[in-house]
Amino acid sequence: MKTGTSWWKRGWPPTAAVLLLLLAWQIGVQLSGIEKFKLPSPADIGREAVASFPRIWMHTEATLHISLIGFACGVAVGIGLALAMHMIAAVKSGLYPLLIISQNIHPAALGPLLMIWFGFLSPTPKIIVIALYCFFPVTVALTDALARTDRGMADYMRMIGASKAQLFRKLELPHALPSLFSGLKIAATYSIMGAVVAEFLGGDKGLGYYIQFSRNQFQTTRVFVALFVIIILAFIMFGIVALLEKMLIGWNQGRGE
Amino acid sequence: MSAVTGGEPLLALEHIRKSFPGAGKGDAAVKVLDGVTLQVGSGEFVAILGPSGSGKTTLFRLIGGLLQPDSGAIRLGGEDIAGQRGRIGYMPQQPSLLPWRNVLDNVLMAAEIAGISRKEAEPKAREWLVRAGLGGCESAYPHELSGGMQQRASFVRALLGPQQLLCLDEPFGALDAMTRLEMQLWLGSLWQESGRAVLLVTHSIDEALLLADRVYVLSAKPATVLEEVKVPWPHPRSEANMAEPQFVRLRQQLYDVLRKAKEVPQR
Repeated sequence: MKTGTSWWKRGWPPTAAVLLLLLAWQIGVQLSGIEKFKLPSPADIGREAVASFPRIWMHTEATLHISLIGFACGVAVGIGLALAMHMIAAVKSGLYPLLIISQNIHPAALGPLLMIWFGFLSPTPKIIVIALYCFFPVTVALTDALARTDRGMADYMRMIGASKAQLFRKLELPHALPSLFSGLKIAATYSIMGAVVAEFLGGDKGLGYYIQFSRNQFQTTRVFVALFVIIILAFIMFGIVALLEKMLIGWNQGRGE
Repeated sequence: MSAVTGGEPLLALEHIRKSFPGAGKGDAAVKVLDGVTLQVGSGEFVAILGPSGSGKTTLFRLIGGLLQPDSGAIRLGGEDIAGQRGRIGYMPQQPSLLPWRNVLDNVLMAAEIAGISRKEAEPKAREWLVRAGLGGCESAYPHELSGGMQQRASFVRALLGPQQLLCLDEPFGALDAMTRLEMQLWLGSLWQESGRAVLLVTHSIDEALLLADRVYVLSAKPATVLEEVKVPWPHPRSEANMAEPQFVRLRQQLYDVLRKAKEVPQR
C-alpha cells in the first residue's frame, strides 16, 4: 500500500520548506555581509561540521548515551507512577499535585544541588534531570488514558465475569497504548533537550558542554553545528518511538478513516 | 420449548426491588424496580418490553451481578446468583468489540474470560462465524465492518461463552429499519440452532413479537410487570407472520398496555 510515491507525496512539503529556509538564510547572510561570529551561513556550518567531525561525534555519542539512560529511567518511573495511580485512587489524588510541582522545579536550580550531592563529573545528576523531563508526559498520558477507558466495554467485560486483572490486561492497557505512545514521543524529544540542558550545568563532555565551550571561544559556527546535531538526534529518537508504535499498535492505523 | 410450565425455570427473578440514592443531597431515593417477577425457561426466548427509562438496563445489571437487589431473589438453575458476575452471556447495546482485535479474536473473548482454551474454542468460533454470515471476516478489524455485522460478531461472541442464558440489551436499536428486520430474522434462526435461552430487552413491539416465545411488559419507573403475553407462532418466523390478524391484534394489545404504562405518573 505504502509505495515510494506516497512517501514522496507526504515528504516533499516539509523537505521543500526546510530547503527554502536554508536557501533564504544563505542568501540573507551573503547579501547582508553579517560577520561569521554573529551568524554563519548554512554553507559555513556544513564545512565546519565536516572539519570538526571527530570531536562533534565524540560529544554526540556522550549526549546520546546519557539521553537514552535518562529516557529509559524517566519512562520506567513514568509508567510505574501511572500504574500505581491507576490502581490506587489515594495515590492518584496524593501524587498528582506533586507531579505538577516537579515540572516547575527548574533544572538551573536543581542541577547545582544535584552536583553537590552526587559530584560534578557524576552522570547521576544528568540522568535525574533528563528523567525529570521525560517521566511527566508519560505519566500524564498513561494515567488519563487508563481513566478514560470506554465505559460500555468495561461494563461488558465485567458483566461476563472479567477479573480486575483481566480487565486491565485485555481492555485498559491495550486501550491506553496509543496515548502512551503519544507521551513516549514527547518524552523522546525531551530526552535530548534534557540531556543538553544537563550538560550545560556541568561535566566535561556532550553537546551541551560543547556548545558552552564553543560559545566562550566565539566559535559561533560550532554552536550551530551542535544545534543541528541536536535537532537530528531529536528526530531520530522521535522516529524510533514512532516506528515502535507502528509495529506494536498497527490496529490503530486507518481507524476513523 | 417453554420449560416454565414443567419443572424449574432456568432464570427466575422473584420480587426484585431496587432503588438508587437521589441525585441531590436530601433528595428522595429513586425507586427503579418495584417487585419485578419473571422467569425464563431453558431454551426459551423471552422479551422484556418497556417504555424508555423503565429500568430495563438496571434489570440486566442486576442479573449480570454488577448491582445487588435491595430485596428479592435472582436464581439461575435454582442457585442464588445475586452479585455473581460471569454467570450469563451478554450482548450489549453497542457491539463493544475491541478495536485492536480482529473478528476471530473478538468473538473468542467471552470464552477466554470463562477460561476455555483457545484450542477448544477456535474451531467452534470459526464454525459459528460462518453460520452467522461472517465467514471470510475472521481477520477483519471491527472498524472495517458495518454496524449490522459488528452486532452479528457481538452475538457470536456471547454464544461462544459457556453460559446457558444470553441477555441481549436492545441489540438492534442503533441500526436502520431494513437492517434491523434482517438482523431480527437472523437472530431468530441462529438462536434456534444454538439451543440457548435468551432474555431480550427491547422497546420495539414488533421485535418482541417476531422473536419471543413470551413477552413481559414493564411499567414506567418504578417498574413492575404489567402484562405477560404468550406469542403463539412456532419458530422460525418470518415477515409473513407480521401480516397475520393475530399478530396485528397482539401488537395492538401490547401497544395499549405500553401506552398506559407510560401514563403512570412518576411517584
